Amino acid sequence: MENSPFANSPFMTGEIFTPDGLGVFYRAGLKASFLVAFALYVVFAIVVIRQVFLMEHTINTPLHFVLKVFAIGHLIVSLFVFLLAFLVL
Amino acid sequence: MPTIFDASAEEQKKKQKAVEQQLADIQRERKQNLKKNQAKKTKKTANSVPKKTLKLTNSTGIPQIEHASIPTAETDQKSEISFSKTEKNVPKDRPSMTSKPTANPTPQTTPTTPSAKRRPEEYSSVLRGERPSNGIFAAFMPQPHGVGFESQHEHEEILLVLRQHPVVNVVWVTITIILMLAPFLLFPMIPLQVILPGVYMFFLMVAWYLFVTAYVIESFLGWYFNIYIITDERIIDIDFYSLIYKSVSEAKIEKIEDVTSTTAGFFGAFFNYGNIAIQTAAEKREFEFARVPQPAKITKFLNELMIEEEREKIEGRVM
Repeated sequence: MENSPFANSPFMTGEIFTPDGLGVFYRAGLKASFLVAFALYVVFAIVVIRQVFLMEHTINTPLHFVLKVFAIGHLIVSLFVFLLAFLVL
Repeated sequence: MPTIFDASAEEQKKKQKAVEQQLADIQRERKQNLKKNQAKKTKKTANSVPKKTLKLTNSTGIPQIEHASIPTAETDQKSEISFSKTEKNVPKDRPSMTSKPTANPTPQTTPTTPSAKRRPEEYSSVLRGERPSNGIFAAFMPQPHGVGFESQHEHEEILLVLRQHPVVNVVWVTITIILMLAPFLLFPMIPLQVILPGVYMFFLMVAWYLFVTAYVIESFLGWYFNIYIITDERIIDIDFYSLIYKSVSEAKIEKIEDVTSTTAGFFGAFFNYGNIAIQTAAEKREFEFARVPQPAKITKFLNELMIEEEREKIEGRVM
């Protein structure tokens, strides 16, 4: 095992798992994962808006204005988080 | 809860006979009234006198009433007084003099014509005992204000709107609290900082709380938009299973065949909520109002609606 040519590689020593040892591909993969997750959340926020508007069409309740405002605010926050992650990570 | 359909055939026949008897009485009364009116009219024409023409003036000298037919002593109080007048000096808010006086005005609530609908308070003891609801998050809303639905007819009135009992929300609220506290309890135990830089840790927290928000939104909307509506014509079940799946089904009151309510479990008995299964002859055979508050009251109300629907049919008041 000690004579293996990969014995001192970051994968074998475990340095790959430390923040300093993160490779370029690992970092890129991590960033892509976060961005995909946040992008999915933006899609979810759009579906929520669509659903709230659709349900308002189906049944009218006094809370609909509040729900609409909340749904739109929720989409804005999710877009902000996505952009922040895209710029910072 | 026994329904009218549980009653024996004899009882139903008795009820029907009673309603028919009542109908016959009403018709007889109407015929008598009609005969009386005709007799009066013939009498009036026989005793009619030529109209005297009067010219009345007010203090300003403007003629107010040009003609008035003075009733003779023989004509009764109900006889019509016809005024031909100048409306210039009459305030708008004052009732018009040309309007026919009604000797015995009948309230609007009582059916005067065969097509008239009765007010729900007249036939429903459940609605009589309830106040119209203003609650936004209420689960039992009799005659709610500001609520309407897509396929509502012009003269259709919403009598009761139901949701699942608020106590069912305790489960997702508890899970939410646990999920919100989890980062503070779990993250110190997992050495995430070893494999993730600080900025990734921050975004991991953000992603976690967004996930919790999504769970809260999904759970809340699932409860809030899962609605059962009872109108004076039909029952409507709006199911909102998830953000991308909803179903709306409805059945006419007259199609309802059987109503069964079930209260089960400790929470159900303690908070008085349960399921109501409604068998119908409509396309959707069974409706279920799941975990609704006061199931016995709702069953009673549905029975009252069914009886009223039958009565409408018998009396020919079906719109």
